[in-house]
Amino acid sequence: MKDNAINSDQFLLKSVAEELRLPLVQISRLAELSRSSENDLSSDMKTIESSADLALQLLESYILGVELSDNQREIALSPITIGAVMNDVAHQVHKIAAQNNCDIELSIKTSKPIMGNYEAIKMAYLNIAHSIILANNSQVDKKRKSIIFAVYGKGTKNMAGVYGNDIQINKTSWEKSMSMFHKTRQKIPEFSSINGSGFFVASSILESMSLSLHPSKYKGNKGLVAGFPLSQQLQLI
Amino acid sequence: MKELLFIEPDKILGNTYLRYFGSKNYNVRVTGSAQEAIILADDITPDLVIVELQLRLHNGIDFLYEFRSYSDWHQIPIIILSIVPSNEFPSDKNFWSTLNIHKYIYKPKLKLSSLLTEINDITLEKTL
Repeated sequence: MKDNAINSDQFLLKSVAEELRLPLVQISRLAELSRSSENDLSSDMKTIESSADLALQLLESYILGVELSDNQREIALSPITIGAVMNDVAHQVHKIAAQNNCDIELSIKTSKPIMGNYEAIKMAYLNIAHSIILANNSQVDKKRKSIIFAVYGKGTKNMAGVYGNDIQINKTSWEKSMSMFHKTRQKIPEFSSINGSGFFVASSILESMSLSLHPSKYKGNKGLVAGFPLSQQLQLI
Repeated sequence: MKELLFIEPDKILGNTYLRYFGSKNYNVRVTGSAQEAIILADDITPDLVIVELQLRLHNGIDFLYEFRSYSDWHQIPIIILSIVPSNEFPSDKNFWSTLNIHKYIYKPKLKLSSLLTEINDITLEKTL
């Protein structure tokens, strides 16, 4: 069991390393282009900044996931609302969404508090959001994209999901991606230039809090959702 | 002007190729889709195709076989410019010759200036 966990960690590390190659290639080539060009470089600088920020975000999230799963970092719980986390995530991805012609929608249907770690949950959802926004960012894609951050109640849980109009992830493809994770380069075939590491890093962060991601649909859009158990004690306050 | 067809799924890299090689007196077309690449190739008959193998819902190797299946395009030079390292390529020795691949470049080692030299050599060779 332990060996499998170690192998799984190594595959996640390899996957993250592979995904980080793309932003570094983008930065390196844009720098080369800028050197050979006399054009206004301000938009290139913005692109370089975004690529570097995305790479750093993935790296920081991976480190957090490892530290949480190895118990190197304690998960301090406090009363939070998932709606506030999702609102924060939506604001933070605003720039990268705009650069990728992607509209953002927030749909917060419940504000019941839960006990959770705000920063860790935010980190997990940032990765999911970035992966959905960048799932297909080629120039052939003329369709206007949208991403929905949804929070709604379901039984004794608050469900928090991120959905896109441009991804087709479903139960079968998600299970296949998870089971083929360490065997294939293109873990989610519908993704073009990224390999979906953000989903797996998010999954590892949430798993360390005993939460699991699974595919679901919201307003006809597909995405990933996790259920956060409501705190009985907080309900009494 | 010579026509270059890039099949590149990443928008930032696609735009970079468009601007860099466009400024070097090439007509540059960029698409992220193998399907659109076939349509574009039919439209412009490129002098050179530069292809990433990791494409959305499509294996770039399948694209290469499809591309070479058209007799008009047998002699169009192809460069593979890919994030996929060479050790993951089919071990079949005939792979390169069957598909008539001119060169493979591992994307993390790419320099635009050296790709330009390569492209200049190939397109010049084609002219002579």
